[in-house]
Amino acid sequence: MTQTPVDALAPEFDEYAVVEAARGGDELALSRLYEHYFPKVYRYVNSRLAAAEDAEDVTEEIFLRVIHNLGSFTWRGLPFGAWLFRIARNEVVSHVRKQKTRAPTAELTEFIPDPSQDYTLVIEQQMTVAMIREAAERLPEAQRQVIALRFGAGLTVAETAQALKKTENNVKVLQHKAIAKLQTMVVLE
Amino acid sequence: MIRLFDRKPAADAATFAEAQALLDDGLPIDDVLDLFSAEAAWLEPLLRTTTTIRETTAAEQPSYYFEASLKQKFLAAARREPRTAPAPMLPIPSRAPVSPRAGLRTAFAGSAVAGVAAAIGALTLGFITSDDAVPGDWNYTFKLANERLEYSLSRGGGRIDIQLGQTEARVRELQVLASSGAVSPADIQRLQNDARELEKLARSNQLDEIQRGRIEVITGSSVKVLEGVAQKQPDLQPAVVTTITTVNDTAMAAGVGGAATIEPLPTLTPAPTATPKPDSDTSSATAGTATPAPGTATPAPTGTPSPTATAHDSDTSSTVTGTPPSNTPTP
Repeated sequence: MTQTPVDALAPEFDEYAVVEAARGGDELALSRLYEHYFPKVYRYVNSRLAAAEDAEDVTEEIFLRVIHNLGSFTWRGLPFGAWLFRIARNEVVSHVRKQKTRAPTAELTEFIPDPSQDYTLVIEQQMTVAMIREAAERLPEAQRQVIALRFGAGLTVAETAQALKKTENNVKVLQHKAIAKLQTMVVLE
Repeated sequence: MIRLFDRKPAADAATFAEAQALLDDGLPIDDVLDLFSAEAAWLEPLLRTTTTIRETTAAEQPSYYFEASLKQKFLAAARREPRTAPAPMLPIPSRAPVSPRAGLRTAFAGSAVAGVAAAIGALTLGFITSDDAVPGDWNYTFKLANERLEYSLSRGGGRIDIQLGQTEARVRELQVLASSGAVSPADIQRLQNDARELEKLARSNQLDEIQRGRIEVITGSSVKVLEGVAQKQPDLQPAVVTTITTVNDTAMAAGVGGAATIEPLPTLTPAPTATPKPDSDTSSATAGTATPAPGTATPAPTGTPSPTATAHDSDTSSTVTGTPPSNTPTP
């Protein structure tokens, strides 16, 4: 088996090397890129959208857009993640706008209880998620973006600032205000 | 109660961000609160809120089927997209396989850069270390180049000083070379050229006392060194004589002429034939103290033991000294 540049990479995720190899069409690099960013992107989208189906659709749109624009991506002092999350944010915003123009539909649940799990815990968790999401919906858009990226996607303050084109101080203030409001809105037991 | 020194909201936000970053790094919430004990009262509910948000969000995992199917779509879409050449600033070429041509180019560029750096280093070293160089040294060319540059850039009295320094340097070089008997005609020619240049400057400029003094010293030391050269290397005798003449001309032009004399060269003195005959009484008596008439270069005929006794050119002797010749024939 021929060794690709990505095979020789260090175990840690070397973003630059992986992205460049992926741009050259290296399938292993593309896989690593996907595996690295998929959980973060999905959690971010899921934290912004109520329905899991919507989150899946939007996540798919995001990755297809990423692969379509990968050739035009250039390093301009920002990490690849910042570029990717800008695409993700635009897709989420675009989806929310489209949703507002549609008539509200009854949500169908595909949840099938697993007998091996504690059903009560699952229900409680879903309620908590719903409660947090509902509270977050009442936050200003900038604060919601910060919360979704920081605690949904798991980005750092610096990464969030790069993705949102804001300063780190600005992100810290938005994060503080948002959490302070959520704390009063969500009653945690 | 009114708080006169209330904290700014940004300061609270920074503290919260700092505590949250520690939490993100995996530190337990109690440890984080211990670190921020002064702010623990208002930090704790905020940190517990973020912990809950994170836990509940992370609990909502995507289905494995969705993740796998999207990956397949992602890779399939990548195959359809035209491939892009890697960016030129790619930092991984050392790990990537390199084509032989690219390797040659890199090697050539590297050696070219190294060559230029070495040349610059050698030039710098040559100019720095060339002050004490003598003919035959690797950096002697740098010394001459440096002198030429200095001379070209100088004007007026400064040029005279530079020329004086260069002539002094030639004398020192000859002195060093003469000690090992390694003087070449070219070395003597260099002194002659510099002395001639100095003579021109002396004629066209008003010299001060110091400059005249330096010329006097140059003249004296040149004659001494050149005589030594002629003794060790008799084949250089013609060049020595001509150069001494030039040096003395320089002294004359500077107004310090007459100090230099030409000692007879031992190899040129034919001892047996130079001995005056006892019957030529007057000639032998006056030979040692014969004073030529002013302006006449040739000693009195009676002072010369025989025509074959004088080895050096009488014209040279006369034009150089103008003073009583000290070259007394050996008895």
